[in-house]
Amino acid sequence: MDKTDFLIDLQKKLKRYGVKNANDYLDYYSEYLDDLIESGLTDMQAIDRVGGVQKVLLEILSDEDVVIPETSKKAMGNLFLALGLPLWGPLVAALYITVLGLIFALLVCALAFGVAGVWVLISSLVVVFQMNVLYAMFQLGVALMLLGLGVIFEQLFILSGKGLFDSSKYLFQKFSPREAR
Amino acid sequence: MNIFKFNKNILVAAVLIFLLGAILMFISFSALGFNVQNILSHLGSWYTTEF
Repeated sequence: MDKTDFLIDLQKKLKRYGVKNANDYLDYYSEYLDDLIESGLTDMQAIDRVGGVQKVLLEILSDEDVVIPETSKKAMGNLFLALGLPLWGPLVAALYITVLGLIFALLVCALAFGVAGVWVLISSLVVVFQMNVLYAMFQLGVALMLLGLGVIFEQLFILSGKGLFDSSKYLFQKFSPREAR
Repeated sequence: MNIFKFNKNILVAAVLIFLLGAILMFISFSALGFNVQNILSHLGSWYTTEF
């Protein structure tokens, strides 16, 4: 590996890490190697003296003057987010399951009130003939209340179910890697 | 009007049906003159006993 190969290799690696001021470092190491070569070392010896591409790269990345653009910081943020998954994952899953449970409870309420309403409504017809109109009116009132509650819960179930479906779809599309590309 | 889709009008109609049922129930309930105290003291078994 001669000086040019070293600098090309270093340039590629700096580009991969998104270092914005890569040319400053390349100029610095080019001059540094020139000085070493002028002092009598061969290209290989000079490169060994600076520590090789990997060591130089680490030194540059840990340098306080290095400029790495925002996107790379964002990638680091995503990395921490992924590493923190065992911590926040169960919390989010628990929240999601709770919401699902509440929506399921709305469905159960709708079915229970609906079936009870229909049953009481049918039986109120029996009451008209078996007892009297006043009893039937009482039962009809209860039946209408139950049916009303059934429809209210059914509509709330549809509204909340659609809300959860739409928000899940939105989140899936937002965080889908296919969309991000 | 599809009942399996959310519709504000259906919700309003359901609330009106509920209120109508409640009014009907309270009117007939007061006209029937149930002895509520007696019903409660029999813990729901009022319909099997004569009082």
